[in-house]
Amino acid sequence: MRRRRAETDSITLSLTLLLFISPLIMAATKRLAKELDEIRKSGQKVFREVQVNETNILKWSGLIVPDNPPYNKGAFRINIEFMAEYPFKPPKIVFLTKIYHPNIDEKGQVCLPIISPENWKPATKTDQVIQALVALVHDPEPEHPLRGEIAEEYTRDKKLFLKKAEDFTLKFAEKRPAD
Amino acid sequence: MAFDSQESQTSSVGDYYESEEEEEDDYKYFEEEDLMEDSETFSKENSDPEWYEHSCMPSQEVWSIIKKEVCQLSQDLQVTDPIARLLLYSTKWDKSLAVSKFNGDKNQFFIDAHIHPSKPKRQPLEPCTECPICFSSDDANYQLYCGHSFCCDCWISYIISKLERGVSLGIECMDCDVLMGFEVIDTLLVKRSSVIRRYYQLALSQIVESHPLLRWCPGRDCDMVFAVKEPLPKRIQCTHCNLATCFQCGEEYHSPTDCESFKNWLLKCRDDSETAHYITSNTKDCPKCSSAIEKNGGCNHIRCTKCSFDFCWMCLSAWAKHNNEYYACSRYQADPDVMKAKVTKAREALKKYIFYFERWDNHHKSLLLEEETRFKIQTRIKEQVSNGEGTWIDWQYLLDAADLLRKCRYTLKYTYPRAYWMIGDKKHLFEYQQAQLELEIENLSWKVERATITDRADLERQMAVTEIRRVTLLRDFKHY
Repeated sequence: MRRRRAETDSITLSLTLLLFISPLIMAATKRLAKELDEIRKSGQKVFREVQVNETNILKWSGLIVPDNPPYNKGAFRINIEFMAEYPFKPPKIVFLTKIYHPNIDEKGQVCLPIISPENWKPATKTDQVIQALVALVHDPEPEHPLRGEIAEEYTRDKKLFLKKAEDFTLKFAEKRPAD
Repeated sequence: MAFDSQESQTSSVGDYYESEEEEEDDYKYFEEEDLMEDSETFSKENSDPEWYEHSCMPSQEVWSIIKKEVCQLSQDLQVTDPIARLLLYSTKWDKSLAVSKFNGDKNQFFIDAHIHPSKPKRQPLEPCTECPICFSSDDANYQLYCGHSFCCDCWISYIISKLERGVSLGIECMDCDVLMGFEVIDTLLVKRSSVIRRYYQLALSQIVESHPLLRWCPGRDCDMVFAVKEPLPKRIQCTHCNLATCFQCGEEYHSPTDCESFKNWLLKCRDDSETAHYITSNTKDCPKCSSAIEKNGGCNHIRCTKCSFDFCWMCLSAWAKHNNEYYACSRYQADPDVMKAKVTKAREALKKYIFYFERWDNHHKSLLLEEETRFKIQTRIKEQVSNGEGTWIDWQYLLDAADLLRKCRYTLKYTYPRAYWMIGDKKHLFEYQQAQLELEIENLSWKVERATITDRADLERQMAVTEIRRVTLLRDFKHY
């Protein structure tokens, strides 16, 4: 009985949500336009070339330009995808450029606690997410790795890790912007 | 803990909470009641080791229990009800823990309970009119205790998105980790009854799951909740769907086996029983590396794929010993001791498991047959009564016997997982008592099937003896 009632209730809930969707997209659009504007105005060097799909403001891409070795030999293209329910659901970040990093897997998926569904706070701005991402790129967190073998190497033989990561960056990463 | 024994005047917790409005006018009267109840409890537990005080109620009644607990704490600590509720939520409804933490570092407790923000309160310079989430300024804002203020539409969308993820009691502020209490939810969702219903439904579910003295009835689609005074691995039975389960683990009732062993046993049965049967009946172990080998055809010259040892399938000794004679396997008789030593540990373990599993399974099947027996007895009684041989009441003892038989067989079935995991000296005594019980149960079963009105006394004596064996075993080998 409990479960059946839960089902009907979740149907009502999804219906309620459907009615919500259109104002939600409007809310997401308004907020994203403002966030995009702020990020572009800030003129930061570590995250730039922010491009937004003309028809769809929910899809962003940009270039991460790390300052610290071993990743400071290149730049990394990322995609940021927002849901229609943004900011009530977190954005998703995918690396398009290959990177040798304990917290970023071969598919470019990244494990960033600030945008996990459990931790996500609607008040968090995309800029803060980018800062957290850059911090993670600079300082890997081997205690919760996506690629165990790299995390192990990072903790056991840092020199080897740095060497490999730098080689990888030189081989696969994009060229850094001139300035 | 939460159900104060000093105050409980009825045996049922549910009843007690319903009568909470009654005034405690005569203190002496209560004291006498307590004494009576205490001695009653004592004697009940003494005569029946399976006796367990519990009540079963429709889930909505849980709210009155929670309300009562919250009220008690808010009075004791001189805080408001919403705060008391959040404190209890953080200590998983452990009142004494909440009181001791409150009397310790109160500030830290409030931060741990997510009532105060973990970072210092942010003071808004001026009441901002624009919602920081959606950047619109045409809707009324709502401010949480932490000082964060957002428009009501955003709050509502946020709550809905959390409910979708199954979060209810744990919904935090949109900016920090301060929890939103019931009164905040009520205020914000005042016009959205379906959302608010969903919220409380999830909240109830979460409360029952986290409360140490409450448990959902595991019955299919059953909406009942059990309440106990002390969480123990003992028998609870649903008044709605009749399912008997263990309060602690929610599995079928399994005394005298403890929850952990029983869980392992079920896991083992689920994973292994079929495979294990197949392995024991169809394979032999390699005499060198003891991997199980299945011979699915061909000659008796086996080469282990793992260790490349060549051996004879018949005598399990090295193939070289056969001196190239084709199948001249007479060595088995020659030195059987060598072979015995080669029976590996792994196979012994399998044999042991199969032994216990077969008995467990046998009693399970017998238990199902006992249901049939009971039905047969009922028809037999009908026949006898219509033939004018005694009245319905005269034959009642046969049904009692069938019920008792079922109960004893049930206990016997659940002794096998316990025996399987048991080690040491205690095991001998346990298995002795188990054998005694088994013997009496088989006697009882035999007598029940062949009972006529003449040997009623004998049957009743047998019933008494069997029950004594069962109770003794349960008492001597408590599983908690």
